Amino acid sequence: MKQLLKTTWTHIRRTPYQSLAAVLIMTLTFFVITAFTLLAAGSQAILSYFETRPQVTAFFEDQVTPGQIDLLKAKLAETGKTKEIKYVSKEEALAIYREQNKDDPLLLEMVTANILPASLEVSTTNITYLGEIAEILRQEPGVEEVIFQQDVVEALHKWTTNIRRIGAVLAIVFSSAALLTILVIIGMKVALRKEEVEIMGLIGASRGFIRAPFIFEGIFYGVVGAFIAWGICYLFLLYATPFLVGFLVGIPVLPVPILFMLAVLGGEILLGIFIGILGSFIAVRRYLE
Amino acid sequence: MIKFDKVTKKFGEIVALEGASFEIKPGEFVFITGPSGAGKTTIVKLILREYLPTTGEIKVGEHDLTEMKKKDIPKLRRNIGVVFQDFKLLTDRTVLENVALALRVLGKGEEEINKEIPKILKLVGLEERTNLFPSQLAGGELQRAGLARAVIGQPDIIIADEPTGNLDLATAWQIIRLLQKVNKMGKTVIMATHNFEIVNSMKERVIELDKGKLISDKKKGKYKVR
Repeated sequence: MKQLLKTTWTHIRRTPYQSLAAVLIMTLTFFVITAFTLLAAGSQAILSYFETRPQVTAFFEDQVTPGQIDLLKAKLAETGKTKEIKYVSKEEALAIYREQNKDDPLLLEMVTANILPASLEVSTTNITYLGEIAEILRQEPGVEEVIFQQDVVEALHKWTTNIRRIGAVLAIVFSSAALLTILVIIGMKVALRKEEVEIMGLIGASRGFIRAPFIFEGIFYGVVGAFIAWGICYLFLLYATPFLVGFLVGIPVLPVPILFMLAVLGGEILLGIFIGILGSFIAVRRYLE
Repeated sequence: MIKFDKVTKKFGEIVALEGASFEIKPGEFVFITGPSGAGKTTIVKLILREYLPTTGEIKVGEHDLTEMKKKDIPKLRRNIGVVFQDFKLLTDRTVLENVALALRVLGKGEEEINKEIPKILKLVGLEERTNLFPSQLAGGELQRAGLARAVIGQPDIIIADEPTGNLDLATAWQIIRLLQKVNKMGKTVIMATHNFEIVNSMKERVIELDKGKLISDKKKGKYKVR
């Protein structure tokens, strides 16, 4: 193994510009993959956050009794499409209002519990049920107004899906480009060492023995590229975290857990190894044939 | 044992070897001789399974080369040490690394490699040149390094394809003496050469070729140049 690593390192060192090109292409590939992985994960987290918030809110007229509200809650629960139903009384509504406007005494003075309606906050198990639940609430006597944030959640849903799709397409395009680059670079290196390959074959070296240093070289490019790209993205993310936290106020997306980042690194290293092995394998096979 | 049975090798319309049959027993020293283009190198390449015969059968030890699968070729070659006219040493590796490569191919560990290399370099007289690169060696030294690489793995067969072709006569004799020494160690030695002076002096078995045909197969001491 020591000898194999030494030979691999010699191959890399003797053609530094080709090696640098391979590392750069791998880094670029993994930079795109890491960036889109983080974007997709972030938008998914934002979407999940909004999905767990009350998505339909029904405001009641003042004369509605607690009995009627209990009946409505039971009716909604029976549909099997609700995740959480929460009653907010006039007093609770006032408390929320006060909390939200605690820095503005003028607004606090003007509002009492009497002018705030009691409400029912409903979240659904799936975003597509929102319209149906809102319709039930609208038809209920004593319900004054129904609001729901279907548009916001649907827009987020679309964004998340699109980010995933674009990310997947770019990951495939860049991975293919990286594979071809490795294939060409290792192919050039094998061509430079054609005589060595021939001599090894004549003295009885197995295909595996001849291939091994080139395969290790491919793995090296994949792993180094993945690591550099991941490092750059992670540093950028750490740098941007304070700004993003301010931007996404209240949405618990950041900081990104280190375990998640390590999982991303692990996945990318595996992909790098795969691209490296496949590219080198194909490149060397042509010469061994 | 090496056995050629009515072996023909054609390259398109060109016949490189035609209907050659002979047998080489273990421990023999055999010259394959003839002018350029006679088919000497074709025989060497057929034994190494670089070429497949167009017709006929070749057996090397227990290997039937005509039936052999590609994946088994390294196994065959590990039992054949080859010395080339152009040395075929890796230019970016030292004498020691070149010779060690043959043992690494066999899967030997560092301890064994470190133990075997000084012995073999002493045998070929290169113990003082261990860490030199091929570009720093003279022709005879290069060929001795090639011979060291060929024999270090203890193969049963040594094939030398024009090993003296690039050497002056005195140096050529050094190589021949080394090949004799290796033969006395029990190895089968096959040497392809067009140097009739060496062939005549050695009094070993001689297989003579001309234009791809085997024209004579003289036993030890029976060959006389025409």
